[in-house]
Amino acid sequence: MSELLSFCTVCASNQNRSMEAHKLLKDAGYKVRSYGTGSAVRLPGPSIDKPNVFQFGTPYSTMREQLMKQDVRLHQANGVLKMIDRNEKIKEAPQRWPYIGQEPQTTEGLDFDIVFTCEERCFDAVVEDFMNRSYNDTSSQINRKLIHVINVEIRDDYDNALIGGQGILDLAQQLEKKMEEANEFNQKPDQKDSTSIQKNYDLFEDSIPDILAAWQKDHPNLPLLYSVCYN
Amino acid sequence: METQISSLISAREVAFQKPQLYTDIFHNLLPFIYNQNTTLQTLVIDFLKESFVDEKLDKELQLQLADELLQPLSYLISSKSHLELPRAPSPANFVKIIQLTNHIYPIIFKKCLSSPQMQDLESKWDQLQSLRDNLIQKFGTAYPLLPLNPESDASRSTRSNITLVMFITNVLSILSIAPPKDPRAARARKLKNTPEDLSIVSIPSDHKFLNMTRLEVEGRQILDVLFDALNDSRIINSPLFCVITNRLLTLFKKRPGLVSVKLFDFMIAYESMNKEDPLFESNQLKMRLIRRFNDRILKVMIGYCLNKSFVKDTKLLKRFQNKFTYYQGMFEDQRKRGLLKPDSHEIKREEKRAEFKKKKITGNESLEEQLQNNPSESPLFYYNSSPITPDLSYSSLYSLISPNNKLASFNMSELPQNILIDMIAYSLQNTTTRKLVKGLEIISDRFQNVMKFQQNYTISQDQDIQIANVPDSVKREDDKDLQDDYNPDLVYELPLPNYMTFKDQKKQLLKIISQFMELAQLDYKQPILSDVSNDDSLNGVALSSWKENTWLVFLTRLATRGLCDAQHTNEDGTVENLNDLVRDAIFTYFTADIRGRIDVVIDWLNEEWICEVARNRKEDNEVPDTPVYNAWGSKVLDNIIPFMENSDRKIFLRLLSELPSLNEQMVEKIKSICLDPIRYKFGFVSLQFLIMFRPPLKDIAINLFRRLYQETDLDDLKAECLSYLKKYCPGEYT
Repeated sequence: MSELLSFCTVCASNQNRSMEAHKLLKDAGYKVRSYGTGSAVRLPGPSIDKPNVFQFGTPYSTMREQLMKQDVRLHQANGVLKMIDRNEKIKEAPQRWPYIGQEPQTTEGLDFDIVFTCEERCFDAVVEDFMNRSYNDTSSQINRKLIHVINVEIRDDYDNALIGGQGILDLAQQLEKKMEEANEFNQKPDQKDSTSIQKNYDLFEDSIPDILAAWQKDHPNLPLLYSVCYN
Repeated sequence: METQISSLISAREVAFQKPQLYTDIFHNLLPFIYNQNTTLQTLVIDFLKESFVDEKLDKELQLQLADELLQPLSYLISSKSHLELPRAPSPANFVKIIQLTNHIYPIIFKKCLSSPQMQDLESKWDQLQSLRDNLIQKFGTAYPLLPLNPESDASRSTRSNITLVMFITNVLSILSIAPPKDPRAARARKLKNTPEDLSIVSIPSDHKFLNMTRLEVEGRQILDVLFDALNDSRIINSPLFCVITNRLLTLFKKRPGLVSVKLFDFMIAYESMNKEDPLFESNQLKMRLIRRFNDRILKVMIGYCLNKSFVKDTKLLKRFQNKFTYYQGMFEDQRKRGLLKPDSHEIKREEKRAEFKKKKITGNESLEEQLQNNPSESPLFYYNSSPITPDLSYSSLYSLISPNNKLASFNMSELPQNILIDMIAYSLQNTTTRKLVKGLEIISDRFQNVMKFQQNYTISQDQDIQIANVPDSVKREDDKDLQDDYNPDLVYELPLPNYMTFKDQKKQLLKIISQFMELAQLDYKQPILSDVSNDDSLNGVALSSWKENTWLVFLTRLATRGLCDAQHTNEDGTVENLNDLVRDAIFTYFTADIRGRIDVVIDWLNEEWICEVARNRKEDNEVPDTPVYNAWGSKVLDNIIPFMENSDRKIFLRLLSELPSLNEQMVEKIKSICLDPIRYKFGFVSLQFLIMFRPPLKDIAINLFRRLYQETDLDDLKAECLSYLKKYCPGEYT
């Protein structure tokens, strides 16, 4: 498992896009978590105005049971059951983003380095939450951990989730590679490196805009957003 | 070394396990900060960070020991580069240094408030202020990395700059007036264990050395550092933009009076598309993304301020709402357009750039316009403007391009010399004096820095060049004998050149002439070096490009100016001039093809005449005698006239027209043509030309007609002479 960078994937319901990216990152050996920023988990229902709404924390198995009671054919055809099968292998239940001031659903802290959001409003929600944390924190905050929030805009359907997930994995690998270089460089504080430090080494944070620009060029249909937050 | 490291690690562990020993261990470890071994230094910095920033150390002890960190921390950041001792810290250590300073700043401030009478405290406070200012000065630079240029450096060392922003805002919360706290909430604050809100408000008016007003002014100046970065005409990098805006929002909560107006004004006025790209940044997509990211952060922030009802003023609130709506529309447009396509502002910027390039190519732009329109013509010419070299190689000393540029790793010495010379000549032709001077200044600064800090260099055991005597290490002399003989106090003087006899000089000059004559034989289809017509003194020379007849310019200048004093009197009393060798060579070249090389002889004789006139000019401004010109002019005419045919009339008339001066003896030479029964008409036309187009020679030419008329026995010639005389001396001949 890669120890250098840990990731978090976020979409509205922690069901489709964030879970597909979660799966790909996890399979690639990364430490990863996923959350949803919406108020509840919404899945397609019998008709467009009757979605299936679950509370965050409802186990995927419970969701499947409920969906099976409705129309199995429909949920097989729209891919929801397939999605739930995939999610169940990753974690027990969808989790809500641990907003400040709300009761956290897990004991896990915001100890990841990179947050990948899959929709602009999720990005806004995450960045605003970090802004709120910072605003309400009266300490010096100088020892806070930097968290890079990157939005990869993905349409919320099964096929686009696959494409977007792959894009997120590519980006994660590029960031990890740069972090490896940076770590290799920082872990040699001997005399010789003192000179090489002075050479024009691109530090991890310095390289992020270039990495994002290169990635965006290769993925024009997945528009990016980016912000630096700290926790 | 390994023993020292393991001892330090054990001491650190003991310090935290047995707090009663901490102070002793602290005092034993602190001197290792001054050790030049970075591993030891890092271990001590980590120990201090754990103790203070990570709060492993008891608060009482922190208060007691904090001021002892001032000197070591100041020492660690006192250097600009690795050439100096101490070396600049690593980026990771620099962040820890900022964190440590940030931590001890309020502790020492509190100490100054509570015990102003304590000995040396005033000097400690001054030391702290100096450390603070030193750190703040490093904001927006690439420190601790080597600088490249101010514009690129603004987006380097991001982590250090982010930590500096946090430090600056924390300092600002102390150096500003805290709003009065609601006394009813005091209990709640205590229960929540809210950190004490230190501020200059607590300074008593009779404090020995702390002055509230002065510190408040300092605070406002420091705040300007952050707003200057945000309001800069260049676009600021997104990570830094995020952190500055976020921290200002946090500061707004603590010190609304200090930042609210400036922050809200900034949020309303910020327009990323009006910001310019940093110089040397060519990745348009990256700049487009940075603008998009910054706009989005501001949109979220405006939304946050609206949700939290921070904005009370109705007019301002309306403007906030408008700006939020504007951003919504802008992002929707971006979504529809796609990120790879430029927006209208970007297209306009590109058009402006293209127009400038066009103007530059056509040369229709003044220097002032160039400076105004093209930032690359500003004093910041070079990507790598660093006055400090990363290592002691010649390439580092002279390189002015980006280290990531592939050319930086290209070994120029592999190129043939003639190509290198052409490249250098071409570069010099195409650069402005200002740019050239700036480049040379940078290299000179680097060299001076290397020399200044040469005592820091020694040769390490594995012979890697780290700290070494500069001249040896730069030159990489491996010869031990040479090193033994090296005496830095000895001033080396170049040996005087051997004396050359006149014979030797002649020999060498003939070699030079023959080389130029070889160049004259080459076939030039086009100029080797393009002619650049800049308003530049470098180009105010006779030769701005190498053309077909450039060799002639060299030779004529050599004959008329370079060798004008090179005379030698032989034993027999005769005088020899070196420049006559050059004249002979030109003359011989001309005689080989008198019809094809008439230009050569005209250029040469004009040069001869103008130099002679300039050299011999008298005070009364009369045109002086030109014996050398006259001699060679006559020689040319003597050699050309016998070979002139009727068909050469145009060539000969051109010669007569373009020679700068003709005297009677020269005109007399035309007589031989007039007496030639086949060419006589050609001779008369030449004389008529002189009468009509060179009035000072009119009388000389008419006299020649007269003499011809009187002396000749040929009727045809006589009749021809008479017709001209009747025309030009109508009273005398009828």
